[in-house]
Amino acid sequence: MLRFCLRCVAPLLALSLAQPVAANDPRLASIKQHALALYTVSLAQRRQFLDHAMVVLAAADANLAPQQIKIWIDDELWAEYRYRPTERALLGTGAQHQLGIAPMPQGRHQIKLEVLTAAADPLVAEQQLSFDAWPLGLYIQLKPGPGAAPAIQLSTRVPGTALLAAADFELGMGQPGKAVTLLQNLAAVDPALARQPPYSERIGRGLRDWGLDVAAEASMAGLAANAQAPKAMRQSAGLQAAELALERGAIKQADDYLIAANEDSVARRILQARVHLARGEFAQAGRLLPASGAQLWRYQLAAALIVAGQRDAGQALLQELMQHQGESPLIAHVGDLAALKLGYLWLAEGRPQDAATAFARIQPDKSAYQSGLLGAGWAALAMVTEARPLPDPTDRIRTDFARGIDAALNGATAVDRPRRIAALRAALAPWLELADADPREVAVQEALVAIPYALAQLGARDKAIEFADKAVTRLNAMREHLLAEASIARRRSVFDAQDFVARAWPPHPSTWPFESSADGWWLADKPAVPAQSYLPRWLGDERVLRELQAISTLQEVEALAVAAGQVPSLALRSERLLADLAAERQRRQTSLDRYAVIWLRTELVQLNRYLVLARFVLANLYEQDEPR
Amino acid sequence: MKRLLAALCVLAFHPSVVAQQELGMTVTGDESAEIGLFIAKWMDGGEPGLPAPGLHQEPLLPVDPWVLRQQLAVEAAVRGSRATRD
Repeated sequence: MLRFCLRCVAPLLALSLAQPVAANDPRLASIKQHALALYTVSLAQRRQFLDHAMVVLAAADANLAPQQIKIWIDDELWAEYRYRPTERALLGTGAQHQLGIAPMPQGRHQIKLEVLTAAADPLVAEQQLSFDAWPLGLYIQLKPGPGAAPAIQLSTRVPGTALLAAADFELGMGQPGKAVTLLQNLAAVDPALARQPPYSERIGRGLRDWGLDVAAEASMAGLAANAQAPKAMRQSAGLQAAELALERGAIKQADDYLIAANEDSVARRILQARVHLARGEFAQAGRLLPASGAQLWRYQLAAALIVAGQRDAGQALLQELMQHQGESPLIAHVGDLAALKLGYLWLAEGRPQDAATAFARIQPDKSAYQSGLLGAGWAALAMVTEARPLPDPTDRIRTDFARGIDAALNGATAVDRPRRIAALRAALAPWLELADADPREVAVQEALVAIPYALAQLGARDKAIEFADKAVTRLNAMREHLLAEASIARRRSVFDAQDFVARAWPPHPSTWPFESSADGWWLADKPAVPAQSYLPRWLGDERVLRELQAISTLQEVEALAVAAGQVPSLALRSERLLADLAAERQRRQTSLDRYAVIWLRTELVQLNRYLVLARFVLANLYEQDEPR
Repeated sequence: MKRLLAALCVLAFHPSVVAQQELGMTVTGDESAEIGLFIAKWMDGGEPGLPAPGLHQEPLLPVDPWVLRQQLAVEAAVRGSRATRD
């Protein structure tokens, strides 16, 4: 019966595996489309770049990429911009930066610049320029000057190709909304270039990255069929159209795009494999997915195979995946995930020796490492278990291997003493690595309880009491903290998502305000958990990440609405859109606030289980000391 | 005595009903899913020794590529910001 059910759900699961887990939010897509449409109308209605000038900066090479720029127009400071390392890297590879659109009526204007680069003292330029020809622009080029010194070259004409390169900058910085508006500006000032394939390719990419998938797919499909486009660009566009179709669940359409792409490349084979995966054709998918370069999709295939009951094939894939380490952060992470999941699968199947091998593959200092250490301890201890039927579970919250260990250590057929001691000592080795780790991590919470448990089994009562006491102290401090934070979160908003996104989104080391293990507060005798100590972990939650991305998009949309509102006839529509945006932002903030309470409660329930077990272990150990 | 100690650590260390609910120890719904009830059963069954506290599981679930990349970016940002401060 179970197999029958699994066979029925397998194709549905496979479909979900071939696509992202969550589809685009239709409400957000609608707001984005509305804003883009309004902005496009505003471009048509105003004589843009007749009383405003677009300001674009280009650097000839990486050495000339600026750290900071200041621009004065008619002796007034108009812009001061500090470039982040990633932005400088983009400028060094040919991308250009649109600093903004400066109010500047036709005529002569005094322009002054001060540019700080890594190569030399600040570069200064001052020049009077005549801004006469439409579209008005200020094009700043940092070039090698005479001798070794760099030089600033100013021009009042911004070429269309500079706007393409400026779109590359915004796409590279994860600001696709800005890239799309830049390209719309380009279409307004240089319609001929906007009909060329490089424009179509970027607008398609911008729309895709901004989550306007239907428009992006249409754009990419158009480019794929454009005979003027180079062959490689047409094929790439066809593959991107196929991927977009696949993500919206249009499997047949995706297949058609792939047939039209008519090329044999790794990217195409991966997409074709995803089509087979979505149809539940696992064998075909497996044959097409290359061993290297498609690790993430091989992982998805392994999950689908195991759910469909093809455990051997799924486990073989995971085994192969866990060999890939260090090739890239993503591939290494998939390798770690494969090793971790396989280790726990093998523990559940009563194969502790194999599980130990899998856990040993996980890279130190990575996110899966602590769970791997915990599993390695259980695998070492599970070596004492034997393949025999377990008693009916009195609890469903514990794993089968934990019940097997109980049967071996406490049951009537307990294993012999030397074997038992060797297994307990082997288990303690990885667990003790977690003894003073951050107790906010669930693997550490379990290790805090597992250590005194193993010590007690070894008969090291005093040491076990010491560790159990430590576990109770730390877990109780965490419990008090979570209770207090949940109480605060129930009463008011604890996290200003809009402010956070403005300061720190997308995630980058230079702006990220949180760190995972601040100062080892849990090592104190009476740990005082810092306020909002849960935020770093909460921010890694899938739902939180999606909401932050949506709020980031809303901020970009707001800039569009404000820009469109500068046209008097569109001011009212812009105001309405801004009101809608404010409401949507508030809705997202409320959703995050509610989720914070739910998340904290889930953390609390999980932590309480370990706290109760820790107290139970401690009580049990104290009881052994009582006079009889 | 053993039973008393179990009762103390499961229930009595925070006696109010609200606290018990917050501890996830009230016997409601799927009773066997509650750790407090598990310990009570453990004691009732006269089990010797301690229960192995193996609760953690790692279910094999599909991963969303976008989410995975964001999580890696967050992880790198956290490490980077710590390195900056150190």
